[in-house]
Amino acid sequence: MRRLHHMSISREGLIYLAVMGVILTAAIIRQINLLMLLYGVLAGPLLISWSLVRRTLKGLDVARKLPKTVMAGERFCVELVVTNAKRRSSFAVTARDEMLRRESGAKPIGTEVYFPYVPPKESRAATYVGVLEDRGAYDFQPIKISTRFPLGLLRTMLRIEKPQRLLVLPRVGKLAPQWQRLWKADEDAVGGPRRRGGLQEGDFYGLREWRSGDARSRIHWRTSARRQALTVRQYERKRQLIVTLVIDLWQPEKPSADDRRLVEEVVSMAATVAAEVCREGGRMFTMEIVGKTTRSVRAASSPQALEESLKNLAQAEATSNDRLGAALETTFAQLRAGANVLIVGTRKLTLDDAAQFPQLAARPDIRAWVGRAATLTPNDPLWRQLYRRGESP
Amino acid sequence: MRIERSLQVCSAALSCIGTVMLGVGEENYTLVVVSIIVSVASLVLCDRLRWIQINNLVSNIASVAVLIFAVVLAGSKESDQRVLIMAELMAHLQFILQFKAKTVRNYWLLAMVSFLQTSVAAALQTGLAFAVLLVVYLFWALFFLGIFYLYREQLRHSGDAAAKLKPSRRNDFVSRPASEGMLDGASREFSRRMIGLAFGTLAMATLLFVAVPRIGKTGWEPVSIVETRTVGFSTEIKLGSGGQVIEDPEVVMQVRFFDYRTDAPLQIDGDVYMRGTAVMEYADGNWKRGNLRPFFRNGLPPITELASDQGLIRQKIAIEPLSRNVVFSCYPAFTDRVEESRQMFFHQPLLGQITRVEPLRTKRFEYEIVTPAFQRMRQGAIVPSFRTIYDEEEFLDMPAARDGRDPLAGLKQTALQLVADIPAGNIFQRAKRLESYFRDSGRFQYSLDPLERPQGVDPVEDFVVDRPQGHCEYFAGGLALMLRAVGIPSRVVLGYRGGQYNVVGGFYEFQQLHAHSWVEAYLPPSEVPLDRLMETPGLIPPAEKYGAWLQLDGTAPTSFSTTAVANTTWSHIQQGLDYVRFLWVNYVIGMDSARQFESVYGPVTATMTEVTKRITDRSFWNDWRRRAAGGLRALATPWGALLLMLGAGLTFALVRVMTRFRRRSTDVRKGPTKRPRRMAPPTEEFYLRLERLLTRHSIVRTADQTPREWALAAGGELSELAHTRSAAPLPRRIVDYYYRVRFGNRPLDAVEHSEVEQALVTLEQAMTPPDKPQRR
Amino acid sequence: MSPELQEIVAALEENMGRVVLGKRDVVRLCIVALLAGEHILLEDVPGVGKTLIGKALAKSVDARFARLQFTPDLLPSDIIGSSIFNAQSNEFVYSQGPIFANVVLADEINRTTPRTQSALLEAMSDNQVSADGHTYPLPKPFLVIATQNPFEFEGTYPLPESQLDRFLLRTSVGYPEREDELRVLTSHRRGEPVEELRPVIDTAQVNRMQEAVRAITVDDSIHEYLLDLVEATRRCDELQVGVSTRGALALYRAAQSLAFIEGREFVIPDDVKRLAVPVLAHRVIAKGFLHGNSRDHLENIIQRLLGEVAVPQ
Repeated sequence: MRRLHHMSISREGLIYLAVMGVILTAAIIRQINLLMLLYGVLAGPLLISWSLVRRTLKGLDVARKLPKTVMAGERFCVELVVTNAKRRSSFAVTARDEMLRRESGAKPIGTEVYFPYVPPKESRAATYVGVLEDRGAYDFQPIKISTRFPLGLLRTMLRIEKPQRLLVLPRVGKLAPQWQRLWKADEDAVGGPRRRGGLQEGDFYGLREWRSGDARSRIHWRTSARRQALTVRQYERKRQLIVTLVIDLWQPEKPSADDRRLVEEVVSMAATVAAEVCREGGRMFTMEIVGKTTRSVRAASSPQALEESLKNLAQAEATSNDRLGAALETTFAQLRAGANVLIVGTRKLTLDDAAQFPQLAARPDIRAWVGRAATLTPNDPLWRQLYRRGESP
Repeated sequence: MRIERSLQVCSAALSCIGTVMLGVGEENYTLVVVSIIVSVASLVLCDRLRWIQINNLVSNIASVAVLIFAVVLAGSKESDQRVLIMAELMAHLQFILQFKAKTVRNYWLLAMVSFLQTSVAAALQTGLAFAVLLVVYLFWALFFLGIFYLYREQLRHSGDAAAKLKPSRRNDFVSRPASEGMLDGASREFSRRMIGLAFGTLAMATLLFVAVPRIGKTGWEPVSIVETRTVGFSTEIKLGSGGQVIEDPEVVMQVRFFDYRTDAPLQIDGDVYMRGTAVMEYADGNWKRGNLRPFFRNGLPPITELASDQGLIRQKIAIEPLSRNVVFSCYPAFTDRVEESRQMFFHQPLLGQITRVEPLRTKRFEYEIVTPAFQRMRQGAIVPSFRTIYDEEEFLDMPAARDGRDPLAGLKQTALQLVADIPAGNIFQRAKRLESYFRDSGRFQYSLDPLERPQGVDPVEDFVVDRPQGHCEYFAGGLALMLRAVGIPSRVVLGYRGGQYNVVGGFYEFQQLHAHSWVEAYLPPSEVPLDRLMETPGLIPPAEKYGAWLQLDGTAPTSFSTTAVANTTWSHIQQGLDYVRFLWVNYVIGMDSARQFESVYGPVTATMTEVTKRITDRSFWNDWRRRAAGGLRALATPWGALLLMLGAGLTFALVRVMTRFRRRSTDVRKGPTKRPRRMAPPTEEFYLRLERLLTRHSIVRTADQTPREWALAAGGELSELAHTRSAAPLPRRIVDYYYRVRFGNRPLDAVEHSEVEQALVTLEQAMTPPDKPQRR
Repeated sequence: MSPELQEIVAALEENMGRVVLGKRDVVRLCIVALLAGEHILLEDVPGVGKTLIGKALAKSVDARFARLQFTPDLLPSDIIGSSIFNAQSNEFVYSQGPIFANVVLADEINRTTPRTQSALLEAMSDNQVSADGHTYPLPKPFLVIATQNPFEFEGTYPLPESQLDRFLLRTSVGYPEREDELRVLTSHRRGEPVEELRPVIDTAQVNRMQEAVRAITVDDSIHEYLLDLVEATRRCDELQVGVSTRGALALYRAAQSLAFIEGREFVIPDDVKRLAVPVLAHRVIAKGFLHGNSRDHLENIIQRLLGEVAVPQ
């Protein structure tokens, strides 16, 4: 932790200096000793606050408590704790905390937090609340603590290096009910002995009373008739849903604002899908982000997997290099039977175009996936039907 | 909001004191009273109750009106007076501002306006009252600035809180200040800081004031814009008119005496007579200067006119602004700076009167006069005349008979009777006899009470013959006329006698009440007792040549109760105050380049040179090294080693105690930060005792501590020290009993009660340090 | 309070402490839950003795004990039982599930599906089981000791927040101290010591103690303190949802129970303070998307709030 002291004079201080100058000049020109005395009385506080203002910051340290993760557009709360290690109190300390989004070239954003009083050997905490609109990694700048105590004439500032990084996860939106039904149909534990996608149905387990939501086809009519109550068959579930999400973050070499918006939308959609898939257990989730760097997540669906996915999405960056073909090739090659593949991307894709994806065309073993993989881009009309962007809470 | 309240009070006080300073400065006491009333009223009615709050329109109209009034008024005055008008304008604007709703801007305006008034007051005023008010002003101003700063910060950061922590814009943040506002502990410490700051400022201001060089040889004397005071020294005497003579304590001058050769400050034995002027012609109770030939000299005679400078004394005199030109001194007056004295003085040797050249009498006047008047630290009674007495009959003049009746018949007769047995040639003895008649016979009473004297009778005759009661002018007049009646030339001298010697400052202070008149009788050369001038041999030749004046004072010395310094506390305080005033006048009001050099730069450079000399002087260091080596050898002995160990042990113990004390003191400061809300305070007597006991030893329960946690913490603290270790479990035990009573609602029985009592006593004993006797 | 009950509590604690080494705090919290007639959730990484603690308590009480190992394929009927068609009588016969016991050790509760979890939790809150339109009361006393792995580990279904507050308290176990760990190693030289535990208390005694706990005096100032705490959680900026009234009541019961265990007839502020974190931390929901569920985060918040609320004296 490196500390830098900086002392400056405030606007009030400048005026004060000017008044002092006037009094001194008047005293010398008119040769009036009492004005000289007045000048001395004016100069005293300025000189003493020069030392007091330094001492106020002496022994102060700031700690920042961050939430583990933050979502774009979501309100979050940062706590700054100022600890006073010296034997005197500190008054009127302002801490300025700023963060800078990586590689965005934008100005740091942040705010000031005010600590009216920090007693000796104690600490005081204050919070600020904010909303970050853009996903990504934010690096915190050194915390600047400053004070103008006691009189507001001079200002000292101390820069305390507390390098910390805040990962702002992409927004998670909402998927339309029809999307949910699409996924649900595949995973209902009370699924019938239908053969689908090479999955084998579980063994018969037993009977239980009907609950709302159970498919009608599972009703064991004979038992129901005997018991005078609906009874359904239960099967032991063996299958595991495999969801593979490929995110294609492509943008032109010189992206326009629209291109950038498109990237963000895709990332947000991917985050939403990931959240949807991971919210419930018992699935296999794979995510491939094809951008500036290729990132992948493979995990059983769990909050952990979601967090991992969102973290990766948060840091994903678009590229003008086209690496989708190679990435799809490896992804498809590893796919197990029965996997659902969804490719979300910024551009319209024609997977069976041999010119665009020569790798896929050359591999007969994965050609089957080319047909089965669904693609979705923000420009599809289906996109708007399925996906609603999350609003700021 | 507590900060705002404090700010309102500070602002009102600041405005009030600023205007009071201005009012006192220009002696406009209406302004003082009005400002006090306005400040109190605005604080109560405008700030607290918010009954009256002038809006902008009204305040603007009022301000313009005041401005126009001031401009019109200023047009008809002199330029110096215009400053006053402007200052009063500031005061009036301030009154208007005080009744407006207080915003940050208005607070600034108030502060500026108040400060401007103070500056003008500084230019106006010279009294010590200004110093006192300035210190008070400083304290309030610092509190104002400090609290105002906190107020602004709070305002600046509470804007967010008002937005209810709802960031509205994109990438926006809002903060909420740390929950704690200004609590008791904080405001106490804040006040301590501000008071410290004020004292520091005083020290710094003194330093700066003393150190900033005063440019220019002249000046740096206060010029009063306000009209000068008339001080009641008169060059004439009017007797017989009634009226109480008031003892006026107003300071007239301060005198310091120094040995001419060594410049050592001196204290004089007996009374000091500061001569002003002399009067000669008497008629009907009035003494006048008479028809003396006008004979002025520019400047004082140089000391070279004296044959010897032995026994000379330099007097440094500072006269407050007086309405007359006469300056006072112990006479005869000489100078060693002839040229300067030519610029400063006119001298009339025949009268023994010195007047100043400079007509302006609004300034304090300071001068130096060398005098041979002292013999063995006592002002000599015989002063040689440095001129031939040409107009001897002037000094023998008596009022003529009126209607064939001598108005002073009784007086003449008494005088002749008194000296009948002394030969006419022995003027000295005759004069002394007459002096002692007034002084020692017991017949004459000193009194300031007016006495109704009969019409048509000469007041002095009446004083001598019928009503021997009066003040010094009667004594002097009587004596002078008696001397003349027996043929001795005499004159009445007006000036000051006595003076309070200020032990602290080493100066004599003369107040109006020291005004005095005495008599001088002329001794022709043959009659001068030269043996009385042996201490100042320079006086002998002129005495042999021209004769001398014999100083006679008929006023009984007992009458001057003020000159005898009573050794009471009050007189000490009085003296201290006088000294402060002396310092104020000399070193603050009258600080100029010469004085600055004399009192600051000179001594500082001298000390620096001395120190440098010491440091660079090898023998000093050699000496020191030798001594240090000797000390080390002494330590090598067993006794020395023991001493060393003892010293180290003591230092260690001291450090331990100090760190302990520090820790404790910080613990105290932590204190209970929040008072329990709507919770009844404990009522169990034994618990309260425990609380008091532990609190006394700085173990204070914080609001979030349960009593048991607190007791355990106390136990931990106790187990740290050997003599309290055995008592460590006791707080916990007592708290457990307390818990049962408090939360279990089961009172203690007799056995338990005594057990608790026992525990408390043991605890108390253990916590009393072993070296201190127990308190009960 | 009868000294007899007091002795039993001490014996119970001592008995459990014999196998659960160096975890006096956790043991005490388990007994707090037992005497308050509520349930406990032990949350920690695998292998620190969660199951051991549950077993030790179950073995120390002379009562019906059931252990449920929760797996992803466990079905509700595996817990509460199901109606089986009896061919002879030609009707459905309800066969009780393992939950019909006095002490139920629900191991790794978050490894099963939410549907199965909720079956258990419903039984816990109502002290009865409904099956096939019939209601079957559970025996008294009924104590569920659930254990769960922190959900950061893979393959888990986190318990919904709304159901977490069926547990009186949630606590972590933590790694034992070095010397305790050494004792664990040596004590395991000959088999599992927990298997050798003898019961020291029977169900009737537990029921009597539960009644005694409800008679513990709680001073008005303690009420205020408790409500202050609850109110602080509701006013807290970092929390989305504060402690419910049920939570306040739980803290109240737990404090009574702790006072009983410590041999007092009255609750002191220390009881409330001691229990606030385990009782309240899982009943609040923090703001924010993901970190809201983190136990450390929530416990820190409660701990901080404890420092802000004035204690009665």
